[in-house]
Amino acid sequence: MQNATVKAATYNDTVVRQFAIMAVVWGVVGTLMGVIIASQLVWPELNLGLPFTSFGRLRPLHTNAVIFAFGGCALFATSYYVVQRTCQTRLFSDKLASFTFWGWQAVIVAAAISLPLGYTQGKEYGELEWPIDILIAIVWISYAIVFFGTIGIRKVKHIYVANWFYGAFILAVALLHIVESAAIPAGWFKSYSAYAGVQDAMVQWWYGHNAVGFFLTAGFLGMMYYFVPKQAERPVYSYSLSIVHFWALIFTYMWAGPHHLHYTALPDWTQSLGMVLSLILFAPSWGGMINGIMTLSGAWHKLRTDPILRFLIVSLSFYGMSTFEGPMMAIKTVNALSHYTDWTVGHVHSGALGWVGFISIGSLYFLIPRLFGQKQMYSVKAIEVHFWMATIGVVLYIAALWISGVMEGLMWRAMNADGTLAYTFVESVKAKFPYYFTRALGGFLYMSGLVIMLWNTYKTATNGKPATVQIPAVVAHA
Amino acid sequence: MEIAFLLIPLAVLLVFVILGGLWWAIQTGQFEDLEEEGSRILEQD
Amino acid sequence: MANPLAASSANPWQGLDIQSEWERFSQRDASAAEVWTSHVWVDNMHCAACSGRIEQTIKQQRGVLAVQASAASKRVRVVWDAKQTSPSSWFANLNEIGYPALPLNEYNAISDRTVQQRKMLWRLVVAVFCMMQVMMYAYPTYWSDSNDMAPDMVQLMKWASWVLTLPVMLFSATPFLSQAWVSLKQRQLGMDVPVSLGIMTAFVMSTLATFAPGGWWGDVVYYDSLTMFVSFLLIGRWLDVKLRNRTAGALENMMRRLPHAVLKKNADGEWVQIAASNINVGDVLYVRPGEVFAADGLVMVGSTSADESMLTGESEPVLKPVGAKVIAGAGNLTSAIEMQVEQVGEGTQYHALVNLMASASTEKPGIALLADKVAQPFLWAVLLAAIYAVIFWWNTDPAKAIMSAVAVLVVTCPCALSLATPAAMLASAGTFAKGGVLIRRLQAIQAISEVDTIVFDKTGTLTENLQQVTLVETHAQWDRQWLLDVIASMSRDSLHPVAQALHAFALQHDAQDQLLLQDWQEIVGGGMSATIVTKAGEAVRVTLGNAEFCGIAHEAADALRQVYVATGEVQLARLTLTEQVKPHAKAAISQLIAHGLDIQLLSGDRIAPVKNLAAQLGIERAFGLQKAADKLQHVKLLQQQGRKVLMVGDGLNDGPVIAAAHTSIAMGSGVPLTQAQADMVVLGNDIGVLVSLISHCQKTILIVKQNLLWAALYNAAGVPLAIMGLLPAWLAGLGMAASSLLVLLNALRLTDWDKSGWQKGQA
Repeated sequence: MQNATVKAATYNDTVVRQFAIMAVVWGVVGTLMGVIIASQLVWPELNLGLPFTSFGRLRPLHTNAVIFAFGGCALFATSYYVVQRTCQTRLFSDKLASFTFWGWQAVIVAAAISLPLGYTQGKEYGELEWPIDILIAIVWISYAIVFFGTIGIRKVKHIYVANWFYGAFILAVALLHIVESAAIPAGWFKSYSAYAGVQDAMVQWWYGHNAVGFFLTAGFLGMMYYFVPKQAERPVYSYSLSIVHFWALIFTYMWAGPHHLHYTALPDWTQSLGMVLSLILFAPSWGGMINGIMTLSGAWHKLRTDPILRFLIVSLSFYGMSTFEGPMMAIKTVNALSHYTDWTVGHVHSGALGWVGFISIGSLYFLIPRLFGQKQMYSVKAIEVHFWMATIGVVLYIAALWISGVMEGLMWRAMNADGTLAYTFVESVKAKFPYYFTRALGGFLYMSGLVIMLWNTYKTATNGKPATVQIPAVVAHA
Repeated sequence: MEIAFLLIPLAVLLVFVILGGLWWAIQTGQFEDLEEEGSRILEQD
Repeated sequence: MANPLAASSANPWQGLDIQSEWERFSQRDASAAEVWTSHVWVDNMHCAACSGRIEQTIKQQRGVLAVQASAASKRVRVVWDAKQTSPSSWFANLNEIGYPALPLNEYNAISDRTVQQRKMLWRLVVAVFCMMQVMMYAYPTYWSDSNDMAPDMVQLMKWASWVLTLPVMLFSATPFLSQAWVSLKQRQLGMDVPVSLGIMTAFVMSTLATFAPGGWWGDVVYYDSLTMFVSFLLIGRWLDVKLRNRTAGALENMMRRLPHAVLKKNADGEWVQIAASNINVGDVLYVRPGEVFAADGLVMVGSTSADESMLTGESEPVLKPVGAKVIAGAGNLTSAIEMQVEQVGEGTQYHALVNLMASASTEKPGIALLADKVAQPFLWAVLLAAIYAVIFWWNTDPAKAIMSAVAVLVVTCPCALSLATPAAMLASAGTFAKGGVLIRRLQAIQAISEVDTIVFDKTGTLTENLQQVTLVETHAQWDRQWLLDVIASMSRDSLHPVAQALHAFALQHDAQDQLLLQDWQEIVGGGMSATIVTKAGEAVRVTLGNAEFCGIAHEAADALRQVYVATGEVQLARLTLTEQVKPHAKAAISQLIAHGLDIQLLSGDRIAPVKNLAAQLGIERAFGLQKAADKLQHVKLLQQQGRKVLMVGDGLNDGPVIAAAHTSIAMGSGVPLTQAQADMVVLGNDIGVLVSLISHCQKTILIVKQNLLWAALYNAAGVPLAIMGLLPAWLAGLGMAASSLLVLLNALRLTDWDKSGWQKGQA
């Protein structure tokens, strides 16, 4: 056991290591769930006739596993790493940090058990029942204490922009989670939402959209603003722009939610407002993307040799694509076609697989060797292979669902001359078969890439040993 | 839409909170000499 | 701001009344002993109307002889008589009328400035973010069907907007409102008065509509227009601050250059840190590499190289061995030295340079004076137009009447008009300063843009200082190499540049400068003589110098300068000194000619070499043997023909000619700035700068004209539309902001100065 003074002079990378490894593990598990349910859509027999393995129960397990288990662990790992490095100080509290790790894993395990058993609040991305919600809240508040506590004891005056994004992500998710999960318990595994009717829908999509905005965007932008410059070995293209990007994003993101409820009982003006704010969102999103990609200006050649950098940069192109597609889909006329179709699912996955997945994978590939005292991953060739499998997987996935979604939307609205519908619903389902197959294939490729990553991580970890990193002497300008 | 009577005041409140954060940041000189801060992360590991 | 002078209770500025204090920001007038010129900084002087008011108020004070305020650089120059007034009294006066001043050259003015700038950014950010939020609440009422939104929802949105507008009114807009209030208390009309009136009216109308809907004021709210208008106004102000930073940057850098503390050797020989303001002549200072010399002085211990580019325009580091002179403001580059202070504070060349630049930025070009004159009547006209709009619409619709008036007030906000000239002029002046061109008078930019004839009044401007020596002939019976030894030895100890050139030349030709000289003498304006023993063992008296000195009767005329070696009246050797044309001079001259400028050369030198030089350069009209009176006559003659003449020279000795010419430029690295009379001073030797300088001046004036034209057109179009009620308040705000932005951005084009030649796309 190290003594206290030595500890104070080193970074707490133990918790970073734990989260980083689990991020890879949950990445495989979550995408495996995805592949299973995608296959169920192609071959319904895979439901196995059991309630625990039915699509309806596994689908929330998939979303929770990839977003909160994989994405969450990646965010915990990177934010703990980045906040210590940029503040040049050890985490505020080792015990509390350790609690966030075990607490978060407990949440994930609880979700993996309760969801297949059918315990759900029935709210998208907020399915978990109230006892788990309370655990999440406690873990999250601990997370906030560790993170902001570390910022509070920082040795560098300036707070690096990545920390602003992480900080906003932590605070906003706390707020969102508490408002969304407000429910009246009816026994240990049952509760009723505190809101009723259209109010509930409004709150749900205020939450749902902002989960995307702050969990899947702000947090990962924090990652981007640290690991892209680090891997490219050049400073952010425009640091001022990154600051403007941050403030503009948090000021506009909060209220774009209603676009999820176009053509519902929500008042028309609220829908229009949601649409306009979604369109405005395009500007800061692309500002951030350009800033990230241009960081590479003058170092483009590195892309040829560095598969990690390729992960990071391709993630930014997917970010740009999704944040262009999103506002387009929020336009009411476009939404009339896209809503409830596979197009939405494709859009979500171009963001989730392309942006969130790639940036996390890239960052983890940067992180893992350093956490185990290695120069690079055990096999760089494997990263290369992973990159191509993941890229092909994503492209297959989103292209298939884009075609299938538009086709589906067109079939639903097609009318005969006499005003009757041209197609029955089941005809549109049948027509989607080949695209569902392609989607499952794309998902499988993506998952296989992550399996390679898991192997590569295992090899890297066992080849090295957990590294203890000294905090550099504080520089004069601190 | 009674929820608006909760959400809108909440939103206004939030704006003031965010402005508070921004005020703190500007006041404590977080945004001075920005480009140098951008390159600092590259110096250490 | 920690102002050490703020201690006294009665008049906080009393501390300035000690002469040593006011000397820090004032200069004694050369002609009258008790008359001083002071530069002060007034941070909230934004417009022509402000500067006009400051000038009027302070001028009325007893003992103040002249005041010049420049809104564009926020500087005021006050000329005052120490027998009749003291700085504290006019400082207090400035404070009273709402323009607290800071003595320029004091560092706290600059740190105060960063605080001001931060606050301005902060006001802008609050305004913009609140505007975005207000827009969000305003949007549904604009675009939803009238029955779609429940009335209580509409009301909720209004309240939310009102709450979000409060920070804008109470914080962001305060600079305008408080300025307007101050000027109204002075019973004067500042630029902020109509603007503030517009803001206040819109806010009051909207507040009434929110909390007491249904009166004659209607129930329409204008929070969105209001916050947008304030945001745009602040963007204008903020850009203004940014622009100032960029243009005044060179000046600021100069002023900030000197260190605040230095290491001085005390009586015990120890190094102690003292404030730079306490340096005295004779002190020994320790200057580390990377530091800036705080005073003029001599190197005592150590040797280094110094960067004097800021003061001389020469980018090459200058070697500074023991005994070399170092100047305040230059950077110590290579190693630590000890120096003894010879000049400090105002006596330094650095100080003269700073004041030169400061006085240039407060002098107003002719066009700007016009804008000042127009400002007051213009503001009155705006108010009348607004009142007219109210009267015109009142009977039809009182709410519309008020809002049309608001539109008039907003759309005419004379920001563009008052920014048009100074923005462009200062952008260019700043650019020039960065490129080593100092402007003594901003009018010079206008004047230079108009010239059609350039007269060089010295050959030295066109030629290198280095003179090329040629040994033309030697006496047949004397050994050539021995003669070179004689030249080297005789010229060795002379400081005359010609002698030094000869010495260098001889050494290059393998001469030794160790001959024994007896009775060596140097005669100023002639040459030197000495008795030397020849190889044959014979002692002869040798002279080295001009023809007259050496007793040569018939002087050859093929070069500017001839030097002879003689004994008795026998010519032993003849050398010529020719001046080499500067590398870029020929290209520069031909470019100037190509752009329609007539180039002439007037020189006091003999005719033949002047003609020769002119021919080399492609100058057709060259005149030699010109005395000062001849030059004056020549320039006057040209002016009688309607020519606009630019004199280019070293700016010395030719006072009358320079005064007579349309404008003048002094150039050359050796030009002592303090004495230069010219309107512009070009540091460094590169004559090529002249070409781009003239074209950049033309570009500047072009942009000033574009700006003025744009501002005038915009107002001419906006006011009638506003009176007719066709211009909603938000559009008026947008128009106002856009016109100011356009003017500023247009001026920013001038910060790009390509020194390589005539700038393309210009007349």
